Amino acid sequence: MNISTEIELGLKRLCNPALINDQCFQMLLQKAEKILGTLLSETSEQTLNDESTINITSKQDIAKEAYASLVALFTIANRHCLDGKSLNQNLQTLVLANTDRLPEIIKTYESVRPRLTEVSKITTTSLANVVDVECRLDYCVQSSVFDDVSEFLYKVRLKTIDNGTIKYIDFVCNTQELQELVFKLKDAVRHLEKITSAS
Amino acid sequence: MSSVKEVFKSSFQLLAQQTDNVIKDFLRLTKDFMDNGPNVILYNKAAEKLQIDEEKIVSIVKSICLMCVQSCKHKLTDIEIKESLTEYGFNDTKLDMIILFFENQKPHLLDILSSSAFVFPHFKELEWRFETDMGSRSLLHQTVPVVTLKLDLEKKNIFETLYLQTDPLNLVHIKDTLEAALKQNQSQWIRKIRRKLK
Repeated sequence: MNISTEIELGLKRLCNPALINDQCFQMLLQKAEKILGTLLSETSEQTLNDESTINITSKQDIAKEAYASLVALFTIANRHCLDGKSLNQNLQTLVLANTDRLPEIIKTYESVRPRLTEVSKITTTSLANVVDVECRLDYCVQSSVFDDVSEFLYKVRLKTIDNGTIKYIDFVCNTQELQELVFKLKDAVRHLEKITSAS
Repeated sequence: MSSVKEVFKSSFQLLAQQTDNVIKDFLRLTKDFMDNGPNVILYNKAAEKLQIDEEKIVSIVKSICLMCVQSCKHKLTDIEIKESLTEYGFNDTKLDMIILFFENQKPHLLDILSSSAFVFPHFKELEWRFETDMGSRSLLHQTVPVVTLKLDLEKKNIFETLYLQTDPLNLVHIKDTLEAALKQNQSQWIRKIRRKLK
């Protein structure tokens, strides 16, 4: 894992009690934990607006730099799938003024990691994701064109999520077409089960 | 102004009085009308030849056309059409000619009628591929199983291809839901509805 000199500087400042006092350090950790731990969830916006830490220190620019470095560090570490131990080893190579703060940083990283990994997994380019299906069976009796239709129609609605927006795909099948669709799906499921049982 | 029904009646009565050859000509004119729309020059010629008003020629052509469309709409059998036409005074040879013409035009007409009704996109084909996401920009090492789907839908002979993806769990869920829906088709309740509405 490589981190830029800017982030390195920010981390050094974060661990320097002369620049960031203990109270401010705790505040920054808590804020990072709150923000990263609730990424993309409904409460994340509320946490963003919660600016209570701003007035905690007179050196606001340094606090901001330190905070940004901390968040960047967590994101990069997670990107490389590092666990707390490996992150600790990586950070040992930095020359920090006060290494007492390292365990606290690692602890915070481990607490936000599950959510961070989850968000990283879905932060990717992907096709619309099918998450649910609804089905309705209609019997068409008559139409404006034909007096006597008498056919069964399955209305199928696939619920998809495409980059966070929900979209529906609607189509119809007659009995034969639905049989074909189910056959194809069964085939796919059968192959999947084969793969999972083999591994 | 006379109603469609009256025009239809008088046109068919007039048609029934014509010779077989003339009826053949009228059927040819109707086919041309169905394929290419109205053709004034042809109607003019026919009017001169038969000494009938051009307006009446057009009415006869349109009436034959209407008869064919309505028969398709109501899904009438040949016998039913024959029965309904006998009252205008057609003999058997003439009726057979008309029925033969109708039978020839039927597939084409049904095609047009079905395409003029509103249709939903129909399921056509599904292809799938099992993949594993190995890494992305935001997460370098991962193993996320993905099922990529290619869903083909058809609407009025126009194909639409949708590329989708899902995870194995959802795939099983979709399969189960649709399979259950298919089984529902055989249930007592659906059979009862089918019997009642037929």
